[in-house]
Order: sequence, then structure tokens, then C-alpha cells
Amino acid sequence: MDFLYRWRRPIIAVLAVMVLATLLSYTAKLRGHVLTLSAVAGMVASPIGGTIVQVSGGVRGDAQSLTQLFHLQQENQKLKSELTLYHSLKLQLEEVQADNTRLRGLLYLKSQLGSWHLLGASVVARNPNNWFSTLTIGRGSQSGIKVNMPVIVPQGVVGRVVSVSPTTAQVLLLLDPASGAGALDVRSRSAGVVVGRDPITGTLRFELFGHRPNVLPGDAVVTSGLSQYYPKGLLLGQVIRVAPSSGGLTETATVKPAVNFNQLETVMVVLSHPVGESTPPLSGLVP
Amino acid sequence: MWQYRWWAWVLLFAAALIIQTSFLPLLFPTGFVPNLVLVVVVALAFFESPSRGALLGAIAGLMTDMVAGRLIGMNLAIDAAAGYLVARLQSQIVRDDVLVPGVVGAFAAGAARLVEWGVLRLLGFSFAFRPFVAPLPTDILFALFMTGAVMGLARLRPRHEVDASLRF
Repeated sequence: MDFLYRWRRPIIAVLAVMVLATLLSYTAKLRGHVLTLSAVAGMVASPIGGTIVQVSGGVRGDAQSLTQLFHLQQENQKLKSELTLYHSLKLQLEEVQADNTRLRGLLYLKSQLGSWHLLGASVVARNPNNWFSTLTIGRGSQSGIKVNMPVIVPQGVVGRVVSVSPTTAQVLLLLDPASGAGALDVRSRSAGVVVGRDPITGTLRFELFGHRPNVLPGDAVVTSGLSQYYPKGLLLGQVIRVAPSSGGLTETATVKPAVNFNQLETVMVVLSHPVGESTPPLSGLVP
Repeated sequence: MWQYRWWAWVLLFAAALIIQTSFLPLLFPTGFVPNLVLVVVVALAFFESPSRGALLGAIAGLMTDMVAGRLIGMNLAIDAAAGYLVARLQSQIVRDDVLVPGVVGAFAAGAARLVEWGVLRLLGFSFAFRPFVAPLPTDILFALFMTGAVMGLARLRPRHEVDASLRF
């Protein structure tokens, strides 16, 4: 026994070599069995390995996702700030575009009425009283504005100047109940007077002179030139309704003004115009 | 305290008039612009005696009439009456800083429009009833929210609180 104990390591080594050599020589011939054995071992080991791979892959993926998330958050913030910038740019652009259209209209109006002497003025204030429709413009007698001068925009007649200070002027709008303008139905040539109703309804009353005036909804109404304030041919609005007047002798038409009085920013004061010259209706002059 | 001085009233009414004629028309359509001056009158009158309430209302109304340039005296009478009635009412009710002033302001705005409409009818202006009714919700809601807001923004306080703070 002492001999075995003393030589145990060389003996084990020789035995191991012998077992290995036997196994190698045996398995070199029986590949199919080894493959089956391998498959069985793989079947046992593969879920564990797969799980490990999956978990490690997932962890790697999560780490990547976290990094991506961080980048995405940064990108999202950057894009949001860019979007805000573009929104504000878009708003600025729209405002500039609106201003451009408005000013183009005024320029076009000025070029169309070449022999007329027009002066542009900004609207600076409205009447504090809701029942009356007047507005204040930022030009006055220093700029040559006088009382009763007509005020127009490319869409049509706004009103007339009723009082003037050196730097401002009050304009009585067509909507005001105290306003009045000699008017003419373009199609039937029926004459009358257009007067304001109130600012809430936003329509004008066209009181016709003739017994059977033949005014129809859709007709354009222009200034007749018979009143002392407005030159002939300026657009007032469009007839939307016709009804017999209270006495029944004639008719009264309701006219929708051509001008949107809520959106007045810049107007043109007619300083002077050729006497007797008729101008075409102004609507649609904006290029 | 500045809120009890006449020049402070004039400055406040001038600011309200500028806002009402230049800024509010950009937000509200023609004919629907709320009466900010009346709201300021109501807010100030909540801390005044009836006679001083009438006086500050008269100043506000006169300033409005001068700017409007038409029917001078109409706003003077309406705002003076509003100032008087609000000042008289405030001594007889328990009020908070938001709700009661808002309700009183809304009531004053509605009543003022009704009186205006009646006065104009009496003077021969043939305004229909619809123009009177249509802007009422805007007027009432504006006054409901703005009366308390004006009191808060201007830091208006009752006289006894001002006196107490000065004493200490």
C-alpha cells in the first residue's frame, strides 16, 4: 500500500492518459453517438446559455437604450427649442405678410387714383363709447387734414373726418348712426342715402329715393357724388336684403359694408381729388 | 394713501381710457369693447363714502365724455351714479376681495348699458334691442373678473387698514 500511495500521482497520470487515449480512439470511430451525447448535453445546457446570452444581450441593449434615451432627451429638447423658434418666426412672417398685403393695397390704391392726393394715417384709438363709431388717426392739421375729408381703404369707404387737432383727427365711420353718404346702386342706378345703424349689427341702411327702385340682393352700392363729402364711385358695400320702407312708398335695403371696421390699422385720407371725375368701385383693387 | 387723492383717480382713469380706446379694441370687435373705466370706478368706490364715490364717478365719466366727444354728460351721470351706489352699498355688506366686487361690478356694467340704451332712445337714437343685449355677456363677464383684478393690481385697501399701517 505504501508503494501505491508513494506512486499515486504517476499512476493517476498514466491512468488518465490511458483513459484519454482510449476515449479518443473510441470516439474517433463512433461520431454519431458522440453527436447525440453532445446534442443531449446541448439540450440541457442551451436554455441556461440562452438565458445568459439573452440577459447579457438585454443588459447591453438596456445600456444602449439608456444612452440612446439620454441622447434622445437632449435631441428632443433641442428640437423643441428649434420648434419654438420656428413658431415665432412663422408668426413674425405671417404678421409681416399681412402688413405687406395691407401696405401693397394702399400703394396700389394710391397708384390707381393717381390724380388724387391721398395721405396714409394709422389708427391710434377708438371711441370709448360703444354706441358711436369714431376712431382717431395719427395725422392732423399739421399734415393737411381738414374736417369733412373722406377716409378710404382699398376695400372701400371708411368714413369722413369730423374734427382735427394738430396731430390727430377724428373719423366718423360709416357705421355711426350720425353718418350719411349719398349712394347709388351700380346695377339699377337707383339713388339714395346710406346711413349707419349701430356698430353691433355692423350693417348700413340704404334709404332709396325712387318709388320702385329695383334694387336686388347682391348689388354693389357706391357713392353717388351727390353728397358734399364723398367723391363719386367709391364702394360702400353690397346689398344683402331689401324691404319696403315703413311708409310703403319706397324701399330700404340693408347693406353689408365693404370695409371690415374691426381690422382697420392704416387708412387713407383723401386730401384732394379731381372735381367731377368718377372712379371705378374700389373693391378688388388689392393686387 | 394715494388711492384717496383726486390726482390718483385722474391718472387711473386716464390709464383705463387709454387701454379702453387703444388696446381693448384689438381684442374685442367694434361695439363689444367693455367699459374698463366703469370697472375702475366700481373698484375705487368700494373704499369711499357715497359722496366721494359720486365725485370720482363724475370725474371718470367727464373724462370719458371728453374723449368720446359726443353726448357730453351721459357717462358723467352714469358713472357718478355707479360710484355713489357702490359706495353706499359697500358700507352695508360684508365683502371679500374678489367675488363680491366682481358681482357688483358685473351688475353695474349691465345696469350702465341698460341706462345708456334708455338715454339714447330718449334722445332719439333708434337703436334696436339686439345691440343692447348682444354685448351684455361680454360686459358682465369682463366686469366680473376685472373688478377684483383691478383692486388687486392697484393694491386698493380700506381706509382703516391704511390708517393702521401708517400708525405702526
